[in-house]
Parts: sequence; C-alpha cells; structure tokens
Amino acid sequence: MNNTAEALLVAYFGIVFRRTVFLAIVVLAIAGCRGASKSGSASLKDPQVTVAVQSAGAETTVSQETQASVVSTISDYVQNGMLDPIRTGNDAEDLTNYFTPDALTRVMGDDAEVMLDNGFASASGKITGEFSQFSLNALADTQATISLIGVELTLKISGPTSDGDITITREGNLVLSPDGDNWKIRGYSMSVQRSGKGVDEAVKKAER
Amino acid sequence: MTRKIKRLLLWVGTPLATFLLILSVLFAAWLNGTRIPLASGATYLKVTKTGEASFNGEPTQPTFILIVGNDYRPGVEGRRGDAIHLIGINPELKQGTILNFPRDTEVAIPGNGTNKINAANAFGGARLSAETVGNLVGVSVPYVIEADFGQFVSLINAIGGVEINVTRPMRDSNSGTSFDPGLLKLDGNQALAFSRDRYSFPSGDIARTQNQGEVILAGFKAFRAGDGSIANKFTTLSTLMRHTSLDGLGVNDLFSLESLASQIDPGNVRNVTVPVQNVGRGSNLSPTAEAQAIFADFRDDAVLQSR
Repeated sequence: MNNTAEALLVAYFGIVFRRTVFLAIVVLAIAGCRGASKSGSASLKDPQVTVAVQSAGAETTVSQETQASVVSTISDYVQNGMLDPIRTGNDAEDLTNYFTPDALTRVMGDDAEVMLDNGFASASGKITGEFSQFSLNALADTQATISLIGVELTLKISGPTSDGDITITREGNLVLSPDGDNWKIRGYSMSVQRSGKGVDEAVKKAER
Repeated sequence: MTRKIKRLLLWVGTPLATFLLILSVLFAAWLNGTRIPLASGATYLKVTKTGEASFNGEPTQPTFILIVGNDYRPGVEGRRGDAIHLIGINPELKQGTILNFPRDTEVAIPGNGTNKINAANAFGGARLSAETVGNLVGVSVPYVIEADFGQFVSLINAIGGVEINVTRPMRDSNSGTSFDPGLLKLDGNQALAFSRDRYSFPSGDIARTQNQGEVILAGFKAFRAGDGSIANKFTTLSTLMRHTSLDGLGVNDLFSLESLASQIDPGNVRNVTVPVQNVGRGSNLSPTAEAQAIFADFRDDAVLQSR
C-alpha cells in the first residue's frame, strides 16, 4: 500500500471512529434523558387566596407582603414536607424555616404521619399538589395589629410512584404567627386521607 | 302661642332632640356593625399570666388555670375571691378536672399567715390567689381568669346564657333564685343567682361551690358551641379581646388557651368539690385527708384516676 492509500484509510477510519463516538454520546444522552424522566418531578400550583380579617380594634387589612409571606411559608412547607419526600422517596428534611420550635417538634415527631408524606416509594412521574381552598383569616388585636393568621385549606396531592398511583387529601387549618419578617406555623388542626396500592387509607388527624 | 311657652318648648326640646339624635346615631351605628355600641368598653373578664412567665402550654403536659369570682360590687370593696376553682386540663388525655374550693377553707396565704382562701385575692389579687391555691394543691398556676358580679352577668349574657340542670327546688330571696328542678336556660342574672344560692341546700356553701363548677362547665359548653373553624375561633377571640383585660399576656397566649379549651369535650371534665371539715374556729374549714389524696391524684396529670 502506498502512502496515499494508507493516509486515505486512516482518515476514513478516523471519521468512522469519530462518528461512532458522537453517535454513542447522542444515544447515551437520549437514554439518560429518558431515565431522568422516570425519576419523577413535583410541583405545586399557586393557591387562589381569599382574605378575611377579625379585629378587636379598628378595622384593618392584610398587606400584600403579609399575604405573600404566608403563602410562601405554607407552599414551601408543602414542597419540602410533602412533595419532595414523595418525589425522592426520602424523609422530609429541615423544616425549621416554616414552623415555630414547639410546633416543629410535634411535626417531626408524633404528628409526622399526618403532617408529612414520608415513607412512599419515589415518584415515577409528575407529582402535583393543588389547593382547592386557601382561606386566609387574620386576627388583629386591640391596636389593629395583625397578630395571628389562620389558613383553612384543602390540598390534594396526586401522581405516580414506583409502587403505583397515590392520592393524598388534606383538610384543616394552619395557624401562623409573625417571626421577624416571616410568618411561621405555630398550630394546626389537620386531617389526612391517603389512597393507593398498599397505602393505609384510614383518616388520620392531628391538632396542636 | 305666647313667647313664654315658645321659650319653654325650646328649652326642653333642644336637649331632648340632641339626645334622641345621638341615640339614633348610636343605634344606627350598632345596627351597621360599627363598634360604637355601649358594650364596646365593657370588660367581662380579667386574664392574668402569673409569675410563670416562660410558660408555654405543651400538648403533652397538663395546664392549670385558676378561676376567681370576686365579690366586688357597688358598696362592697376588697374583691375577696368568693368563687375559687382550679381547672386542670390534660391535652394529651383530652380530659380535665375542676376542683372547687369552699370559700371558708383555711389555708396558708404567702406573706399573710393563715386565713380563709377567699382572702388571698383581697390581699394580693390574681397572682397571690394563684400562689395560694397552687401551694395548697402542689401545682404551678400560669393563668388566672377573674370576674366580678357585674362582669359575670355580662359574660353569661354575651355567650347567650347557659344551660343548667337544676336538681332541686331553689327559692332564696338573698340570691334571687326561684327555680324548679329541670334543665333550664339561665341568663346572666339567673346564673349569678344560681351560683350564689346556699340556702336552698342542706350542705349550704358546699353545694353552692359545686354549683359554681356546674356554671363553669356550662359556660365552657356554650363557649365551644361554634363550628371549630378558624374564622369562628378568631371571631370568638376578637370578641374576647374587646371585653377582656389582659395582664402579662397577649394574643398568642389567648389563642393557646382557646386551643386548649377547644380540644377538651366538657363531658370529659370532672366537677369535684374539695372535701373539707370544720376546724372549730367559726365558719373556718380545712381540707380533709381525702382532699389531700385528691390533690396528689390531680397534680400529676390533672385527672382524678382514683375517683
């Protein structure tokens, strides 16, 4: 084989090798993407908020900032205490930003079965959370300062896990008090019912 | 019409018209829900947070609340605690007990020697009452709820009256009772009369003290009559705040107390009068050995397992 033919052969196999490697990367990337979609995701729809105020003093209103802070605290709690545990199959982690210390002790302890969604197999598709009720009630003291906010809510979470489809419905209320610039959950009265393959479907309640 | 008559009509008519105008504005405002009404300044209760400043009701721990009905009314000074009731609530067991103390019970009053238990309130108000009763029973009392005669009547009227099962005929001109046996709906004045009548019963003050506990339980039932929703609770709390004098506590404490009360079915609250005996010094009484056993049973979890 002369030098020219040898050079053409090397170039040909070089091109074939590079294309093979490129194709392999593409195939692996596509496979990877498909695999990722099977590990699931979780999202929470923004609630439609209704607002009412009871004041022991002059009439007052709940500011947009306060409403946003309350919605943020509750949404983040739902995301971290319910949706993420289902998505990952791991127990809820740090919830200190959403509960007062006393309430957190109960939520992470005796009331965890009601307040958190630990113990599910990880999600195999999209888990969605949606509030069908989010009624914000504020209590103002004699100085017309908003001191407590209670939220009556109904929340439905549903989607597929690797053990099958699940549906979780919560009804009850959360009571929040101011903590610096934020609002934290200090009390609750909540019931939960879960359904799905192998799931305990009894209604469970917790109150604090 | 003579000038004299015209002047007289003007003299009488102007203030009357002004008065009627003010009255009609107040009435219109009241109808409209504006908070000008006459009751807006009325205080039904005084709630005191005692020296247990760091107290924070725990869902696993019993909470003790002292209720004092003082005898203040126009012409009677001193505010002796003539109705003294220690309520223990166990949120974990969802049970409670009301311990009723006959007012002539002789006890040690810190800093004031030995005296009738009702004197503690006159000597040092709610905090000394809490300390005195707390020492006697062996518990810490973080909250005291106090009302006088007039406040009691207003409070009962405000919650729409109380249902009381009257067990025997009660007719006493001193207190104003005139009740036949049966389940009766009592307004504020009737409930006060029921709570004060000691002459319709052979056991006198002991039966009266027990009846006061019945009124507290009936008030508790009326208080819980709402649907349990947050909107309903906040309405109750805002009304309470308008008519309650708070000493050392705020909205969060009130909410804790309300939550505590709402968790307990009044049917799971025992109404027990502390057994006492005459000690041979006038009307003075002292707790019996059985009373000491009740205190020991009560102090650990606010529930009387032995009775």
